[in-house]
Amino acid sequence: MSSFDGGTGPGFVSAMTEGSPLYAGEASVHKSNDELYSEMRRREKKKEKRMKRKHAHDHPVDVSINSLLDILSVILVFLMKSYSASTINIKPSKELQIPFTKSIEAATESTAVTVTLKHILVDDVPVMDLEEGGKVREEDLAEEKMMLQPLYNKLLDEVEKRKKIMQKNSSVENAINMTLIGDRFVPFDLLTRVMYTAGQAEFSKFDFIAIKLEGG
Amino acid sequence: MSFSPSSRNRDELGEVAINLNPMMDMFAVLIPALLMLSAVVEVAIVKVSAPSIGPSNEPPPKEDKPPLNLTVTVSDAGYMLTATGGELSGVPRADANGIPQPQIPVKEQPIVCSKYRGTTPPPRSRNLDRPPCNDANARDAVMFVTYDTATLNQAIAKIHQEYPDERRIIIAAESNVQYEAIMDVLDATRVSRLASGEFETMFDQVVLSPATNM
Repeated sequence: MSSFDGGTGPGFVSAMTEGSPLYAGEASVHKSNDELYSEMRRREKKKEKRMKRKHAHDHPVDVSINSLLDILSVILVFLMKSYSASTINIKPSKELQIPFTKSIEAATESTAVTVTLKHILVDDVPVMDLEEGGKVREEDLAEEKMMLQPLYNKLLDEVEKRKKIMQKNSSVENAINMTLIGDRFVPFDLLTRVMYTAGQAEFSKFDFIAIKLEGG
Repeated sequence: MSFSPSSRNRDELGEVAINLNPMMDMFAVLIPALLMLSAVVEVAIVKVSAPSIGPSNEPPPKEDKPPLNLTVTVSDAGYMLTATGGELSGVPRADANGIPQPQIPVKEQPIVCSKYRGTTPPPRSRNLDRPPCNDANARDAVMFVTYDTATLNQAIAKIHQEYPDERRIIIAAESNVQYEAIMDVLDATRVSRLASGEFETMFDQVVLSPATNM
């Protein structure tokens, strides 16, 4: 009885002799070169796999992000284009709840007057404060009681700007438009006062903004 | 000894790996920001003319064809239709017994709550005793006292058939009528849906008249 100890001491037994753990029978002694070669290749491949597994985390994995960048570039350009194309920026809030409409006409660029129950704004700049329920303060009324003096003063400036633009650029439409963005609870009285004031400031056309109902 | 050109040492640039981290950072910030800023709600406009107070600058109409001057007056009680330039057949006179009465009164009808979350439909003064619409019943049809815009639309369509050339309509209202009710009137008087499914423009030249108190 002997054991293979890989050495050359007294207990060493050749692998090719009977009694050795590596001894695979008489046939292993007489293996051909091809068989030995393929066995050797198998062992090398196993060793390679072991080395790969061991050092797999050592090598960074290259991820190609070309496609991802292509998609992100297209999305970015599209969003920037659609954001810049919008001329009316409406920020609904508790104070500004816009009513609905079945109209399908798109908004155009013009001076935007926002009317809520508490404030009146021109192009997002507060111009007037209102009392409870959208009532106009006495000091804000002009001599002509339908007209709102602070709003009139601001709209006159806007009209002057618009006229200067029309002088320089003949392609700009001649009529001076106003876009009215109103809260759904605004009383009709306040609405007509705002429109009358704008009319006195030479605004000739009014566009009421509302949320488009789906299905028309 | 000088080397031949082919064997001189040259600083050969290997493949340069571009650092894409800043670009990806920019994308990661800009795209969500633009998505949030982009409009979620689509808006539309309704063209309206200013209220006219005082003498009109328009030339006087030809005597053979006076304008209809169709007027819809809105109050908390309903819609009143009048016309100084013609008879409105099928529409009862508004001043029965000398007292102005709306020919299309408000009525109790089921309304889908989705458009009125947190509030009630107009006229709100008629629905003070009813609970407002909320998220729980947003898809339900709840009974409210509301304007009869469907009947108004039919009445305006009949008037349009009698006066096809007329496009001007005057909208008047009491001072406390809310903007939302006016928008509903504008929708009901501007277009009508034909039997074929197409839309026909009716009275799209709208003039707002100063507030009245009936």
